[in-house]
Amino acid sequence: METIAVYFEPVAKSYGLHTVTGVVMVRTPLGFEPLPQSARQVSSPAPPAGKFSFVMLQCEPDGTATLYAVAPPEDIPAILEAFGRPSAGDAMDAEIGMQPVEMVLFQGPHFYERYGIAATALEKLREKKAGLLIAGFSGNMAYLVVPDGTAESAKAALAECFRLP
Amino acid sequence: MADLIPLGGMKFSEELALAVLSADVPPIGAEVNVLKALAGRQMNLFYLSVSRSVDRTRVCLCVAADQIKLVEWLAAEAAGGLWTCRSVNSVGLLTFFPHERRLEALTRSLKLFAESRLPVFGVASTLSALTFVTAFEELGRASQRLREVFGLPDHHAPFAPEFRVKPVTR
Repeated sequence: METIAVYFEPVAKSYGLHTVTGVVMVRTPLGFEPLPQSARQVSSPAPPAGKFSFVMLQCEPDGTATLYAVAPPEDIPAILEAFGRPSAGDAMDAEIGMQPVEMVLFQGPHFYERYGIAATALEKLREKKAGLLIAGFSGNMAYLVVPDGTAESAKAALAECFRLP
Repeated sequence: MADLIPLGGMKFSEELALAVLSADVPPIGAEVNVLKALAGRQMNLFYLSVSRSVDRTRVCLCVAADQIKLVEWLAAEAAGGLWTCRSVNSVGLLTFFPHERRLEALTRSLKLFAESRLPVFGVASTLSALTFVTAFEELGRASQRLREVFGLPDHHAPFAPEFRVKPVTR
């Protein structure tokens, strides 16, 4: 049986654009070889107590992987320790990247089964020359991690291409 | 043994394929050209991660399994050799929720994937869910192993898609 539903939406609807400020992004390589073994770097005798705001792991078929974790500053030491890296205060590890960032996040109906959402958002940011560090789209949600101090301008740009409540 | 982390549920995707696109020192926003090309073909991205650094942009995306060849072709067309594209056939998304922003949920699940030799091709979080890209044929085993770490409601079976939304032009 085939069911056909017709849905026409010239401007994609969102449930609102939200910003998160005062957070830090940690970028750390994970040495996956093969892929699953990299996660063995996750070594913590006691369950880590920290919280994250956003995480993203990018892996390539050859086994290289990079973890991006965004969290409030007070949670960064727990994240670094959980992944076998020095605590923030001792961080002299050149492989670790750490910087203050901000985020714009938004969600909308059935984003995961609709085409063009990411293209619309990222094209608008490019058009406005707004910075972007990383972006993650999964489920109904989009996370855009932008340089510190730029979330509001990114949000204003996105407001031009998504319908807001 | 550590306590189980309570979960509300788990979800599987349909069979997908993963494309990993990398470009060295691309123009800023070069990935937009690829994304626009995919959108122009009405291709749903079930999962997408983009990272930009000084010397490299990397895009990981999941599309329906039968669309991967088109992605490879479009990635090559969109920027004339700028992108290196590597693909993995037959992947699936395992999503569990809520993670409640707990670092423990991330580290224990990653550790479990590693110990079980389950492939991890990518991870991304949302407000409530954590999504793993893994081998499609391993979704069931991954779900079973995760029950060693997470407590699910009684008799919970992971949700699986019963139909596929296919964009059409009218």
